[in-house]
Amino acid sequence: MVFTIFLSQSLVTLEKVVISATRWNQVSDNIPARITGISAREVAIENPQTAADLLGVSGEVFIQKSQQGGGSPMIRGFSTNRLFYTVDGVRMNTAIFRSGNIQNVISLDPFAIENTEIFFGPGSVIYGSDAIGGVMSFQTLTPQLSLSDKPLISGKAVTRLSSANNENTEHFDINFGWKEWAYLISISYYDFDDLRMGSKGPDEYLRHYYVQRQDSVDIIVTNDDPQIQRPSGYYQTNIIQKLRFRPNEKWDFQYGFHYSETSDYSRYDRLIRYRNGLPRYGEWYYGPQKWMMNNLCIMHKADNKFYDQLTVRLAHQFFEESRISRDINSPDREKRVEEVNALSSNIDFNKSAGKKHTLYFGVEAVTNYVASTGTNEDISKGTSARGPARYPQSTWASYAAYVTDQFKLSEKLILRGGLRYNQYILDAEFDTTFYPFPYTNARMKNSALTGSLGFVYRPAEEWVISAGFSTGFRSPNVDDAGKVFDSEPGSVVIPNPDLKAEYAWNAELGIARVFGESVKIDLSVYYTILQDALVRRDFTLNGLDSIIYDGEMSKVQAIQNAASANAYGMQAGFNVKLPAGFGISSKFNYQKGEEELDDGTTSPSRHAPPWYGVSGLTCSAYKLIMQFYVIYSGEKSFENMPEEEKGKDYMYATDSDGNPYSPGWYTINFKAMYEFAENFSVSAGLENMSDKLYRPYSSGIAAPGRNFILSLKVNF
Amino acid sequence: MKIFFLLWLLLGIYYYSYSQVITITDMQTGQPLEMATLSSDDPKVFAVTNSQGQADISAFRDAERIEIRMLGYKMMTKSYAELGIYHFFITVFGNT
Repeated sequence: MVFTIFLSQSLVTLEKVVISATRWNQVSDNIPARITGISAREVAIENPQTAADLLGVSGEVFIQKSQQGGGSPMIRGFSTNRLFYTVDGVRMNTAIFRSGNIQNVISLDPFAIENTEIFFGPGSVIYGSDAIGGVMSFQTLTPQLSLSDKPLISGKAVTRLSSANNENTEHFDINFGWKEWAYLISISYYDFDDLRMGSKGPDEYLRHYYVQRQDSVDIIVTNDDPQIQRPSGYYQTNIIQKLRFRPNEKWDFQYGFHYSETSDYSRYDRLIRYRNGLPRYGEWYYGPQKWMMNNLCIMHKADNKFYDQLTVRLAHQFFEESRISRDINSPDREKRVEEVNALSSNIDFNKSAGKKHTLYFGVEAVTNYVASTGTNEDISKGTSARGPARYPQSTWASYAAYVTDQFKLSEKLILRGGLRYNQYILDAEFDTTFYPFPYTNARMKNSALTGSLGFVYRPAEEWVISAGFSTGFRSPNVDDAGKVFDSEPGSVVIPNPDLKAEYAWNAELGIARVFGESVKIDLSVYYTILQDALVRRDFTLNGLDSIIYDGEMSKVQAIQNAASANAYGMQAGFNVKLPAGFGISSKFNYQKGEEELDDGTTSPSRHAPPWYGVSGLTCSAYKLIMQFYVIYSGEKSFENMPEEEKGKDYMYATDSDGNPYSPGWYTINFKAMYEFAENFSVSAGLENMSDKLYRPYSSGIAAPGRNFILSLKVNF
Repeated sequence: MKIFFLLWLLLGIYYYSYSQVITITDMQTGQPLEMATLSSDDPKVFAVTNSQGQADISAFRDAERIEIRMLGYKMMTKSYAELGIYHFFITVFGNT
């Protein structure tokens, strides 16, 4: 006999269950931070093509793309290695996450993610280095046990087509659950052709020519359709296998294997660069991006003096990325391959202390081994030789302990405070074969103390007010150490053993209110100061400001904790439930940022996009869900462009003064999902109906033009 | 005989209380809801519904406040006793 509970749909709930704030399931209105969730159901309606697009579905993460196989999130004026990614509770950030745009998130499979959360603001107390602007937490499919004597066999099969890039995607997952054991496997295959841009927008974005290698010669080919961005297509395979053993209510063991691999994919923003009237490159592409994770998670529930619940996570991850480039009409091809083996151990506990306190605490150890190789090929002769590596051979390690206390002062007021002590170590060995550095290794060992303090006040059922102060940090990593390769005649960059972590100080205030059962508004405002940011500045070696390097007297420089940056802004949401299953929802983000450059001058932050948001109308009628919405973004005028971006005129439109700028844009979109039967649903969409031609700010590739999506799903 | 009947009844309640399964469905469509969460502070228990919208709530016994949530749905609060009593009646009437 089974009891049934019926839940009614609502756009205006104040709280949800989240795990990103503490690594434990918690109700969001106990947490003095803004957290947005993206459910598997939203993903099924929206049909994002990659995990980066999935983050964009939230309406609160801005996605930059340098190529179609791209997706670098920007959150609250920060991006790349100042944002944190976690998959099934395991740190995904590696020691080679760079300050330039990254696309590691596309290694994740949107079909295999059952829950996504975005935690805004510093999350370093729980997650350590890099969690400055926000934390993106992905929970992949969990093996499900049978609750009866019959085995639970369930799963889904999905096929999807999209017109803008001739997408052809297939997905299949199946779960076998018994009383104590469960196993699941998930497989996805994505195939994206060259991406078609819209037709109504700046002509500068059109692709008139592209380079093709024919009979040992680089030929500039006229593109028969300048809206097709050639070459930009790629394909990707994702596999997950998980095994679960839950012998009783107290113990739960889960092992997960994840594997993801893309094909080669062109770095489109490099291919649109010109020099002397010719394309700059004959080829520039990333080799396959590979990610593998083996993850063992052990959970124990107890009622002892030390803890109520314990989770141990042991993980090994392997990352591979490579860059292949060749100038036009040159036989010299450079290939740089980076491999990272990342080992991590997390032990997390929670413990209720009396009725009012709940403690969350734990320890973490992470080690990254970075192996970097370079190969120079002569494609005319078919020869190859060792070339300079992108990074030194390095080991980066982090050891930390943290504690957070949630103190329920009353039914209306909750305080939360936390501290983390983190030690980090970087060992790097430099090869002097190609660069005659005056050193061969560097060692850096330092520590960071971070904290957070905040409160959540709920004066009445319909109000939530929260405020918090928090710090975040980013320890110097191998990419920072690798900047020694920026040495050139006239200057030499040397390692700085005293390098410390960058520190962020963040203050924020959040208010959410529901009016009756039909209206909800929420607003968060924040101000973040980044101190001790890493920049290259003049330095001394043994008291000398210049030394002989590469046969020339060169100025000594080093990466130093010498710059500061700030970011501030607001995030607002608005939901209205209308009669007859209709609803209105809107999300709006405004952010500004300023950063200090290597030369000491200041510039608008490269990672603070213009204002953006999404507003729409939803209709839910029995088994039919429809959404009509507009996505929009403001302009980034030349005056407000970061100095670094002003030089990338090939990426931007041209204003009336002939200067590069990023025009504002909007797209009109329609999505619908209909469940024909208990097991069969169809979702369809028409994105960018007006065929707008636009590039989201800082993107090197134009966004899809008018795009028709059709997806069929069978649940069983 | 009455004692045996009572014993049978109590054992029946005991048995069911250790194997109680709840199904959570969408009020509008009747479709089972996967990934709905059930949580209680005392006892500290958490459960998530499976692909059939089902979760075992045996561990929630004696909970006075079980919060049932899902993103995009209105939260519902029930005590274990409410679920248990309801279940008990269904069980009894179902067997007569």
